[in-house]
Amino acid sequence: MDYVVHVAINIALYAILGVSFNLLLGYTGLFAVSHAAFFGIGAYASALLALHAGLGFLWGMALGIVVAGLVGAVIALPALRVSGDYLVIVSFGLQTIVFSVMLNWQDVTRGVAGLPGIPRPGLLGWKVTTPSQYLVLFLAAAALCFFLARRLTHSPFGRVLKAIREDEVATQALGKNITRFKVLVFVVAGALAAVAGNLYAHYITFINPFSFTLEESIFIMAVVIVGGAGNLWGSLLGAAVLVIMPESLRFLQVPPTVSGAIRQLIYGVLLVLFMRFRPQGLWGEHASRPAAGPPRPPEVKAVAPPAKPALSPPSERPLLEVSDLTKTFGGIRALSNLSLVMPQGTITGLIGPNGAGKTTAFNVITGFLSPDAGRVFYRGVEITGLAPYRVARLGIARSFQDLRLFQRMTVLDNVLVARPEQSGERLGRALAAGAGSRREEAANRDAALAYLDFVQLLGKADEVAENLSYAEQKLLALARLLATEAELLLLDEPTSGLAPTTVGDMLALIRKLTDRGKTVCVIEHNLDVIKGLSERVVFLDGGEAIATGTPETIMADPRLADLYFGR
Amino acid sequence: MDLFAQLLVNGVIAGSLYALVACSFGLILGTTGTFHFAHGVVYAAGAYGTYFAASRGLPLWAAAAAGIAGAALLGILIELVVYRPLRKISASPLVILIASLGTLIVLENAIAIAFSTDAKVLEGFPRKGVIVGGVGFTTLHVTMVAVSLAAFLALLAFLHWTRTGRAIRAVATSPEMAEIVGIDTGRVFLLVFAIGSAMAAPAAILIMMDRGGTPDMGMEAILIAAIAVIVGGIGSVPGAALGALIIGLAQNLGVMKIPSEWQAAIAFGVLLVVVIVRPHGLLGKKLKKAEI
Repeated sequence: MDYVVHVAINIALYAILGVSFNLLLGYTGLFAVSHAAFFGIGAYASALLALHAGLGFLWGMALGIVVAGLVGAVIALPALRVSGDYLVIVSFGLQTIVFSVMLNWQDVTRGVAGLPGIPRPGLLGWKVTTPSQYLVLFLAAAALCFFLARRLTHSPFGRVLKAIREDEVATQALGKNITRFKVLVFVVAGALAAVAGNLYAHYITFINPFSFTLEESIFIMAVVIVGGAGNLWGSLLGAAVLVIMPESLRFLQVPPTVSGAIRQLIYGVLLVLFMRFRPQGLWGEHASRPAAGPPRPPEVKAVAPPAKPALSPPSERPLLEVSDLTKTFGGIRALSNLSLVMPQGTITGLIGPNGAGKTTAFNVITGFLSPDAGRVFYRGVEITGLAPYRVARLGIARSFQDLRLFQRMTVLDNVLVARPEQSGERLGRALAAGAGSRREEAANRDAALAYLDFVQLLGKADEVAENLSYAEQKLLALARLLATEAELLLLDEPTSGLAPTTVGDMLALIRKLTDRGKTVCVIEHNLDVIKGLSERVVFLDGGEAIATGTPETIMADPRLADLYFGR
Repeated sequence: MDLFAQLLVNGVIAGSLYALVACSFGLILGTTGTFHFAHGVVYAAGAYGTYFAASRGLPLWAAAAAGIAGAALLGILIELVVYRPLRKISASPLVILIASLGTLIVLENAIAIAFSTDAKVLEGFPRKGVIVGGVGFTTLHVTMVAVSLAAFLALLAFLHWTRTGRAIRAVATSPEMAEIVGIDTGRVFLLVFAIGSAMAAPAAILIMMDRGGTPDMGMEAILIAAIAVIVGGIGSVPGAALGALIIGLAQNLGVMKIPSEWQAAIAFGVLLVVVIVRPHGLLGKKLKKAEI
C-alpha cells in the first residue's frame, strides 16, 4: 500500500514539474532544458531555511519560491538572447552551472554529502508524517499549481505566450513587450518548480545534487513531450505514464544495478518514438477542440466596430514624417536619405522596383531596424530607434509580406491577442482574474468578432489559422492589424499572391479604412492596383524617394516607367 | 611560469581532443542541419567498440580500427533509422533535436547495461613520460595532438580539394541548389555522418587509453563540442577547432584562478560570454537581418 502511495506521490511531483515546464516549452516555445535546476534551487532554498533559520514549511516554501523566481529571472537573461538550438545549449549550460554550485559550494550545500535531516512539514498545527498524509499534501499542491497554471494559460497573458511561441516578430509588432513576458514566464515556471523542490525536500528529508542533474531536466522534458506540449492536462498524463511505466520493472525482477539504466532507456525510446509517430504527444494542444463543428451562429453585437475618431485633431503636420533615413547592410545601401510624409487620413502608395528599400523603410519606421542616420516623427514626436512594441503602442501597426500569422492558434485568438491594453496581460491580473477581467475579455471578444466580420471571416473564428486558405490568411492578417486600433497602418503587399477577384475584395476593404479614421500606407508592386486605391504615390528607387505624385503622373513619367519596368 | 607553460600545454592537449568532436559535430550540423546530439554516444561507442575488440584479443591498432569503423556504421545507422524518416515528414528542427537527445539516452544506457558504468581503460599503448623545458607530458599526449591535427588538416583538404568534398560544401550552402545540379544529397548526408563519426571516435579511444571512459563520456563531449561550434560559429570547420582550443585553454588556464572542480562550468561561462557579445560566433557569418 505504501508503495502505491509513494508512486502516486511521485506522479503528483512530476505533474507539478511537468505543468510548470509546459509553460515554458509548450506555451511559450522556450526550449530551456534546465528545469531540474529550478527544482533543485527550490529544494535547497527551503531545506536550508528549514535547517538553519528554523523556518516552518510554508515560510520555507514562500521564500524558496521567491529565490527560485529570482534565479529564474537571472537565468532568463542569457536565454532571452538566443532561441532554438542555441537556447537548448545555453540552458544545458545554466543547468550545469547550477549543478556545479550545488556540488562545489561546500560551505552551504555540503556538496556530495548533501543536506540530511530536513524536518517533516507542519501545516497550521497539522503534522505530516504518514505516507497518505504526504499524498494529500502533494495532491493539494499539484491541484493548486495546476489551477494557477491553467488560469495563466487561459488569460490574455497566456494568449501572448502562445503568440510568442508562434512568431516573436509579429508579437512585437502588435505592441507586446516580449522580453517582459519571457522573463515573467521563467519566473512563474521557476516558482512552480520550486514548489515541487520544496515538497520533495520535505518528503525525502534528504537532498543532494544528484537529484537535480541534466538527466532529470531531460526527464521532465520527456513528461511534457510525451504528455503533449501546449496542453496542461497532457502533462498530468505524461507524469503518470512516465512514472508508472518504469515501475513495472520492479515486477520483472530486473537486477537493481541496471534498473536505473533501463528506466532511462525506456524514456529515451519513448522520446524517439513519439517524435516519429506522435510529435504532438498523447494529449496534444488541439486534441480537445471539436473537429469542424457547426458554423458559429452570428452572435456579433457591434457589427461595425466604432470608428474611433482620430486621437488628435487633424493638424497641419503630417501624421508620419520620415527625414533623411539611411540604412546600410554591409556595403549595400538599402535606404539613402529617404524622406517622405504620410498625411493624416490618406492612403499612400509605396512603389518601386525590387530592392528599392520599401520593406526596409517599414522596418525602420516600426523600430525593427535602427537607421544609420535620419529621423522618424509620429504626430510630431520623434520615434527614431524606439523598440518595435513601443512604436506599435503609439499607434503604428504593420503587416508582413509573409503574413506571420500565429499558425497554431485559432482565427479568433489571432485577432484577440492584437487587442491593445488588455489588463489580463499583467501577470497579477491574469492569476487573479475577476468579474472586471471577464467583462473586459468579453468586450475584446466582441470587437475581435466584429473585425472578423469586417473581413468576412466570422464563420471561421474557431478554425486553427494554419487551416485557412491563403486568401483567408491575408484577410486574417488584416483583421489582426485592425484589432490593434492603431491609427497608422503599414500594409506590406496586401494583395500579392491573390487571385484577381480577391484582389478587388481586399482593395475595397482597404479603401474603407480611411472612413474609420485610419491613415494607410501600402507597399504595392502593381501600379494598376495602386491606381484604384490611392491618389498619392511615392516612388522609391535605390533607397530614395525619387518622386511623389498621383499614379497618373508617376506612370506618365518615362524615366520612372523605365526604372519601374527595369528597362 | 612553469605552471603557466604546463597549463598551456594541458590546454592544447585537451583542446585538440575537443576539436576532433567539435569539427565532426560541426561538419554534420553545417552540412545536414541536424543538431546531432547522439554524436556523443557515437563517440563513446567508438571507444567501447575498441575496448570490446581489444578484450577479444585483437591488437590495439586493429581494435582501434574496428572501433572507428563501428562508430562510422553507427552514425550511418542513426541517420538512416532516426533522422531520415523525420526529415521525410518534414519534422521541425526541434523535433529532430529531441529525437537525437532520445537516441543519445537510449544508446548511452545500452552501453551502460552491456559494459556496466564502471570506468574502462584501454591498456597497451606504449606510454612514456617526456619533460621538455620543465613541462611534462606523455607520448600518448603527443599522439592526441598529432591525430587531431592530422584529422583536421585531412578534413580541410578533403573538403576543398576533392570532388566529393566540394559536393559536401555545396550541400552545406544550399541543399536545394545542390540537388538541382545533380548532387545526391541523401548520399552526401550518409557520407558526412560516416566521416564525422569516424573522426570523433579516435578522441574517445585516446581518452579511454589515457584516463579511462564511462558510458556517459559522450554527453560531456557533445556538450563541449556544441559549445565549441557555437563559439566558433556554426558552419565553419576551422571555427569549431578554434572554439575547441579556446575552451580547452580556458578550462586549464582557469585553474590558476578558479578551483578545478568548476571546470565544467567554465566551458559554459565561455559560451555565455560569446552568446552575449558575439551571437554569431567568432568565425561565423553575421546573421542577416535585412528582411524581417
